[in-house]
Amino acid sequence: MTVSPKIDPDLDLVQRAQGGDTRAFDELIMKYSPKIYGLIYNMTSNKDDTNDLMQDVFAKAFRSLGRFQGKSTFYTWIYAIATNMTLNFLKKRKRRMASSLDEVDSGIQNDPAFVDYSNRANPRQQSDVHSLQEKLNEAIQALSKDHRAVVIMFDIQGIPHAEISRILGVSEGTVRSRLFYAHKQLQGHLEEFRLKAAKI
Amino acid sequence: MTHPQDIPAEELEDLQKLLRLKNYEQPTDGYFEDFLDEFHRRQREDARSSQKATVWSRFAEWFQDLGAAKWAVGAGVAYAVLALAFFGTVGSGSKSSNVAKETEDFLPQGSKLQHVELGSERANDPSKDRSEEVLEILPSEF
Repeated sequence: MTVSPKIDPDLDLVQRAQGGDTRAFDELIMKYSPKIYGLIYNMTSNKDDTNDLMQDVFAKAFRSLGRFQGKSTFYTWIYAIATNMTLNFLKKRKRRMASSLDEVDSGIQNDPAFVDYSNRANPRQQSDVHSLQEKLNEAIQALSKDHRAVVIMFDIQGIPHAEISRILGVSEGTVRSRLFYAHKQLQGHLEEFRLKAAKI
Repeated sequence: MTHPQDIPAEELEDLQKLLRLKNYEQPTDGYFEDFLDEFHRRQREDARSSQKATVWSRFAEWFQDLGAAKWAVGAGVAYAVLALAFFGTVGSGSKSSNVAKETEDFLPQGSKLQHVELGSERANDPSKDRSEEVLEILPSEF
């Protein structure tokens, strides 16, 4: 039985970009930069590093586009480049740099998860947004790089296990195993925070 | 895959809801448009620097391909540069007087060249016939 390859929704843009149409590559950047930003930003927890790394990721993709043969979707390919470059960057950045977090969109105030959390904490919602942001960040940064990558892709960005396994080049079992241990560790960090919040 | 100490579904759901709140952290409006502009600027800079590098790398490649002869070629080029520099310096001071001397050798005896500065008062005098100006550089007998 042969498995039919997944049709790449970006095939037309990729082919045009490979033919030298820089506007087609611009469209790919605009389409994927928000997701790639989320991945790198949550991995590094630093806005400047995120910006520089993202520039490097798209520059590398642009240079390597001629070698992209469509064996995976463009989305998987660019995600794999971003993940590898970010993991390499984090290996080199031995000393942990101070984080610089983005502003939180005001929409968070209406999110049921946040409403639920803030009801348990106290009515000073604005300050709680920041404390929650810091605590979440601390918990995610405490994970190993490999565990962090799967948590960001699966829990924050909603990428399915199978896709993550293709991006990272590991089995689905490994992805699930990493998620399990990462969840355990995160639960410890965030449970402690929930208890503290409830006592206020 | 199930683990012996799986996190209860409800707790896992709470944890995932909390993690999804990270999606509310977003860069400022217009960030991605600025990012694209910055990408274009960096690409242009890279293209410029790689063009310079290409000229130099082609020369270096050609030089390396010369093999053992590269030392002879290098010495020859250095010699030529030194010779040009030497003759350029030594020869430049006496060039005009040498030309005048050589020209006088061909003139009939007793003839002399008259020196006229270009752009002098006489040359600018409108009352003077311009054909005379041309003749002034010729010997008086001509």
